Amino acid sequence: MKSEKPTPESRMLVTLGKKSDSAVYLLENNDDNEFRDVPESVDILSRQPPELILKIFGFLPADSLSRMSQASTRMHFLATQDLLWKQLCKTRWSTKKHNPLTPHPHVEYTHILPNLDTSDKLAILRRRFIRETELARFSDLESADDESKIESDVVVELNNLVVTTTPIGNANIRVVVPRKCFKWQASYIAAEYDQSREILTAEELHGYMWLYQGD
Amino acid sequence: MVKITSSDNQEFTIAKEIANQSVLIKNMLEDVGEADDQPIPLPNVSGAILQKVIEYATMHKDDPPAAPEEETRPKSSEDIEERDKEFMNVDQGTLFEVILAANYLDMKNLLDLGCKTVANMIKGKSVEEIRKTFNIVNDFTPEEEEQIRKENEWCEDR
Repeated sequence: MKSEKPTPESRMLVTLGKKSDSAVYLLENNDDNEFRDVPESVDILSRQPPELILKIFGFLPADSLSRMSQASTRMHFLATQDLLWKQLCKTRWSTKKHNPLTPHPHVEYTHILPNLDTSDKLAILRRRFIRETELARFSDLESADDESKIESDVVVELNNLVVTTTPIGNANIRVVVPRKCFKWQASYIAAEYDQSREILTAEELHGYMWLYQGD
Repeated sequence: MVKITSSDNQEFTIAKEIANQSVLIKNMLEDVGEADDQPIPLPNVSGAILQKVIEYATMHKDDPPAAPEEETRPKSSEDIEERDKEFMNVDQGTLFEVILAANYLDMKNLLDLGCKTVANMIKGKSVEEIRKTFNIVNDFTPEEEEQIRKENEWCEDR
């Protein structure tokens, strides 16, 4: 059988179908040309069409995917795709009450802000216990279907709030600073670190809804 | 019976219930109608691989239809039958050709089996072992490698 050369972006968009965050991200972050130049001499796995490699990676647990991403630049490009990590977050967090399927509050999002949409940002702020009254001014943003039409200073304001409320400096919280990964992988890692934490912060103590259950 | 020909012009005559496991062939058969005696050309699959695919389809011809997947259950690569493990015990070249053929012929179970088999070759291995398994060349700069190692140390220091 002829092995098809993995080809450009258009193919990814077609195969990944819906315009999900990760599919779009795949295109936007393709500036390293990882997809264009795959020499014939590369190994057999890297030669496979990207959608097939992604399907294989879909069967991997998070630690294996993490190790795979360290093998080469091409494998890194594929193994850090957010659609894989979102699925891992979904299964990993499905039984965890305090971990809804939104980007984790303990991530420093400064360098991956374009990877977040308005509802992501608001969810992060809510999970950082920012009051609803303070978030009300962004409600127009959330309901707008075309984000490009929105006044840019409101967007800047929202972005600033996401950046400045990062819980850096809180000795009890380990903040993940993404260097080479995106929102869902960073969130997955943050949740793993957070899971071993034993101390609640004051904000959490005030912010959570407490239910008293007696027998 | 259904006739199919491979890219290297080998002809295979197989039972319809075996041919129908390929959604591609099934749709083609429905399109051309019953009466047609012409072999179906499969220009993307070699005879050797087609032989292997037919072997799989014959082995699984009595399988019940698959249950729908649950979204919150992790996709596992552990649930491989012993006979399928045996079937997939081939060199990497053949393995990937079978996967590509399954993809082209639209045979979901075989495609999943192939992908799970590759996933199992990755699982439980260190970065260096993964590179060795597939002959992947490390093309990171030392700085990049260090950055990425740091980012992924969460799964090592537990």
